[in-house]
Amino acid sequence: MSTPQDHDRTHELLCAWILGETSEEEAREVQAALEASPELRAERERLEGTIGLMRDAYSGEARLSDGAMAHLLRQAGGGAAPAIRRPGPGWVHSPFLRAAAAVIAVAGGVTWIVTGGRGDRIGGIPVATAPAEGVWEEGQELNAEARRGIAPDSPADSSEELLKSGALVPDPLVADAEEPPAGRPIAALEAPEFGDRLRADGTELERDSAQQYYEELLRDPKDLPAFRAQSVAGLDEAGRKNSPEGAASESQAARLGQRAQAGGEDTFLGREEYKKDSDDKVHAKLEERGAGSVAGQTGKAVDPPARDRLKRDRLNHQLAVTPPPVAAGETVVGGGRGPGDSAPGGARARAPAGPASPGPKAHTRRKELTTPPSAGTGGVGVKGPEGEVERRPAEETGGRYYGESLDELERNDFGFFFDDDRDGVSLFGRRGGRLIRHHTEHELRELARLYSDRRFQWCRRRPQETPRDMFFRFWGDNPFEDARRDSQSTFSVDVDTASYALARRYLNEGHLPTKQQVRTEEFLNYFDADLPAPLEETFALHTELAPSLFGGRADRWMLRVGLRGREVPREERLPFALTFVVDTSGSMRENNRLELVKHSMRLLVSQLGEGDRIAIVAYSNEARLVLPMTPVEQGGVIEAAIHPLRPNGSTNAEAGLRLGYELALTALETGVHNRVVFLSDGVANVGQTDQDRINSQISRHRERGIYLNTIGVGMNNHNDVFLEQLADKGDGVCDYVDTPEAARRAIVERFTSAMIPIASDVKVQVDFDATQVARYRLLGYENRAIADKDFRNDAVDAGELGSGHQVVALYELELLANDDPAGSLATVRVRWKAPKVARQDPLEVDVTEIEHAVLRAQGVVAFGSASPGYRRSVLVAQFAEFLRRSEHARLDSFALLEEEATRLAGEIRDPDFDEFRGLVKKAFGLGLQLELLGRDQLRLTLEEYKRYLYLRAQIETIDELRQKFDNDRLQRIRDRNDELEDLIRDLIYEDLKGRNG
Amino acid sequence: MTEVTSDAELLARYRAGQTEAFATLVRTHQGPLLRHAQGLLGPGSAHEDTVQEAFLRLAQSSPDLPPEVVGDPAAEHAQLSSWLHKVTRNLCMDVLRSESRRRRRERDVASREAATGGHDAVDAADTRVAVEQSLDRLPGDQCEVLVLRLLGEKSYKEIAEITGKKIGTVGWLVSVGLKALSAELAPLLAGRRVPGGEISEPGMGFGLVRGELS
Repeated sequence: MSTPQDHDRTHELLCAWILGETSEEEAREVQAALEASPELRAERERLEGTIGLMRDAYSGEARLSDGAMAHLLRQAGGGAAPAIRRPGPGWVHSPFLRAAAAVIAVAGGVTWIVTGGRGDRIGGIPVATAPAEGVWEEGQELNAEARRGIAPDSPADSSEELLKSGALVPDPLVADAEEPPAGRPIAALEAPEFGDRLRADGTELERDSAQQYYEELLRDPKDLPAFRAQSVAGLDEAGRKNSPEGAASESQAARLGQRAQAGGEDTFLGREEYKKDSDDKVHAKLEERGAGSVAGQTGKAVDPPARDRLKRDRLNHQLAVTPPPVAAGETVVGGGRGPGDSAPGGARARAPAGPASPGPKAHTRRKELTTPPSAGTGGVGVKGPEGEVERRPAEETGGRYYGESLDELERNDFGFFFDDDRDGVSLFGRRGGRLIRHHTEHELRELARLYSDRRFQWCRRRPQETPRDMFFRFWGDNPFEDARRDSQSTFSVDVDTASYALARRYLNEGHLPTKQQVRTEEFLNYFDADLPAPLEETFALHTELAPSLFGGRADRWMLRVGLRGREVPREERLPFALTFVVDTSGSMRENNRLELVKHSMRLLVSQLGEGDRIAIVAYSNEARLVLPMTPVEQGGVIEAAIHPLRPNGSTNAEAGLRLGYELALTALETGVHNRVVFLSDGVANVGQTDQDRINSQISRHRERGIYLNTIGVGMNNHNDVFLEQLADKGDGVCDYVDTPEAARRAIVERFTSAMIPIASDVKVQVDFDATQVARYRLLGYENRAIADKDFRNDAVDAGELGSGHQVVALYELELLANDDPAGSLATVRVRWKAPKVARQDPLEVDVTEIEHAVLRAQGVVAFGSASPGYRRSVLVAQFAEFLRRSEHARLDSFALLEEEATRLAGEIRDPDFDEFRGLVKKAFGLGLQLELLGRDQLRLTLEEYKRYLYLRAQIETIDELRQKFDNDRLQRIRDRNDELEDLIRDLIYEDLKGRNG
Repeated sequence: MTEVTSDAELLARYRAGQTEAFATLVRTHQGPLLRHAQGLLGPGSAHEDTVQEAFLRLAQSSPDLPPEVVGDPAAEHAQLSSWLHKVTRNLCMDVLRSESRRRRRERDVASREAATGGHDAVDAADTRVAVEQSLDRLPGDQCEVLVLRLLGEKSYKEIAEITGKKIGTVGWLVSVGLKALSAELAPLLAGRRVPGGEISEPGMGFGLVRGELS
């Protein structure tokens, strides 16, 4: 906490003076001081420079994302404030736009809208809006106006012309927006905003799922699949809801369709054909969404030349320039997402596709694209002011223009204009005799492209990135490591178990923990020790080898490395000086958390004995001393302090810790084990919650010999990060207690031992023999990895182990054929320091290293022949792998895990393991396996892409090592790369498209 | 939308139903508010939600401007801006207090990780990254006053009003904050670029929370 204790008045005055905050008198004082002191003058320069830097750095205005802005305006516009109610901004008075608004409401999304649909949806308008006649007239008038303002032969320039003539008023939101920074597809968000404007006018629109989705994507491109899964479910629902309305409007649509068809012959063929041509996927998608009836509607014989033309068209353009109609079918399906039916004007009808559609001549004049739109490569927003998109007259480019031209527009009944302006498709509407324009379609495509590119870029191998790092970045798991390339695996021990307790709680409450919450090593270490403790030495090292039960291959082995610490008898241990820092904030009232804390403290005190002392600090808004250092023999005094603790107020954890340490310092002496025990239900929220500073305080005290343990109590909010981090810094453990039983376990069984450290900075290194082991992988310990070379670097920090602790690590191995059964597969080394004690000379370090050979002959023939402890470890780790959705567990069988767990439970009597079996069943019941397999095509393809890139990185690394390059293979690799990227781009585009139906 | 309109006028227009007027208000005020919220909440996207919320509060119950400032566009602007800063600040405090704080943080770390592979990392100017990071490292209260003073152009007095601190404290915080910042940015001040300048991978640094990675 910053408190004004180290006032530097001159400096303050100087700052104030620079910032123009001084009075005249003060200004004179500063000037005099400046004259007198060159240091001060230098400081002034520095400060002014800093101010300048800061202002420069932030000179680009921060602004809300377009999505956020749109959301805000929607909320504000449709807000409850009575004063806001009014017929609506002038521009929507036009019946024309009303009609458009209605259709938009009908078809549900926003981007879809006007865009991809072309003829279909244009045709849909009169269907959708009852007061159609007036609208038609308006539309014609509008078209005529538009026509007047421009030269018909240069459609590509039309928007500019219109702008110049004042006939075209860009949407103010768009016009005022700043130039999009590179890489941000801001323009793509404009269309939803348009929908928001309509909403603001009182037109009811459903929340636009695409918009929501974009926002999400732009925040975190990694989350695509998860989000998709949700929204596909939503679509199903929408599809079902809609079909009756769609059918109802059919006859109406047919009537109007005839009318429109009188004007042009092959109007629908192109579109229809396009849809047919555009891959079975679209159809499959339609069926999938229960929209079979819609697909049926659109079925129509197709004339072969049109088909060929369109095929060619499509091939030429590939995805990035595929003309909009690809979405025709989809739009129809999703139209009127769910309760969008509330749109006014009988707007329930979907815009029908196919022959029934009264669309204008959408494709009659479409020309083929011969030059790809440069926006497709420019990469930046569609509306970059310096016009990344080349604009040339249609003739010159061979017709980059593929929409309806303005003269068509005039002949058509509606004011929709597919303008090639920056490859966007524009919607024209009318506002007080002027036109407003809005981009729609192409942005979607552009967004898909930008987004997929961003994703590709994220996936690609980074400079200097090893395949291993790449694997970890992709999947968050340790990869199989080639023993020839890296024969050593080094990690820090960890005796935390919070992850297991957290996962248990989640599963019991009926949901699956996230990958990040599952730490395999903490699962392993939750279970009671099964290895014999050494009597003399600090550690005993055990290894066990058996065929791997999982991994989908019969030739893999699983090596267990077990480290068991000595049990220090009570009479041998140092006397304790414990300071409890107890959270007594209001939230501790919930579920009797504070009572649980009191129970825990009493339990702990009962474990202590002669020579031990405790102190208690309670904190809520402030910290207060409850009990000074008191010998545990004075049970009455202690109970009198514990008993009256009552929950109240907020959580000033830092104050509590500070006072706790002050108290602990009073008992800081050699030969006493000094520890602060922090008990809380979660995050600190009042006072300074800056964790870094708290952490550094803890580290500082740790240096002086005070440890810190943390116990999470209740923890409805599952906020273990804060507590865990504190414990890490204080070289203690973090425990998690929600029942008296858990309290007993944490305190009686584990906590006291955790408080008797037997070794610090304990590191484990396994050195594989590359002539015996081909590949290996470490399960878990992902975040505990230490650089191999730092194993003997005693400055590198590692975990602490207490009396009787056991640490287990599992390695999955692929062995090489080797006839030497006496050969050793690996050497396991453990290195540690004697625990730090209070006021120890920092230069005096007592380091020990032991090692142990793993022999091939150790391996037992079958998993079932391995020791129960070994099997328990394997099963527990496998469960963690499942919960982590580990890349390695994709093909593993859940049933096998259950079966083996049941078998083992019959052999050992371990209530923890019985509970574990229950959790396995629960996780299975929660659909864990389904999620593992993944059925989403995009997700699967992305996975394949990642796997492929990983493979490629491996090949490249090996080629570099050998200095031997296989060009054919490299070419194949590149081809595959392109193929996959195309496919993904395609899928993402469809995904986005499908998002609005 | 280029004509200069006073905030009071815009508010009135908005009350009369012009959403555009509101959009203009948002555009003119959002920058400093976003900086302020980001300073309090740290990197990530939570600050955007808070500022959005603050504007919603404005939409729902816009404050009555005191009569003495009405008619003076600059004073109106300052008054409304202070009000918005106060609301934003309170909302940030709520966020910091809220139980979902951790979830947010996790998400933000995840997105930061994602961003390092995107355009952001490639294009980010070293200076900006360095300044942002240094600012992030400042204690929250120092960062806040610096943001308000230098980016929000608030006077000490206004800052005192927004944050509920004494003017003297504000002056002190500005002084220590600037001192720390100039020490951090010394290499840049000397005309050199900070080494690297790249955003480090989350989870790799000392003190990062385990489990946030992957």
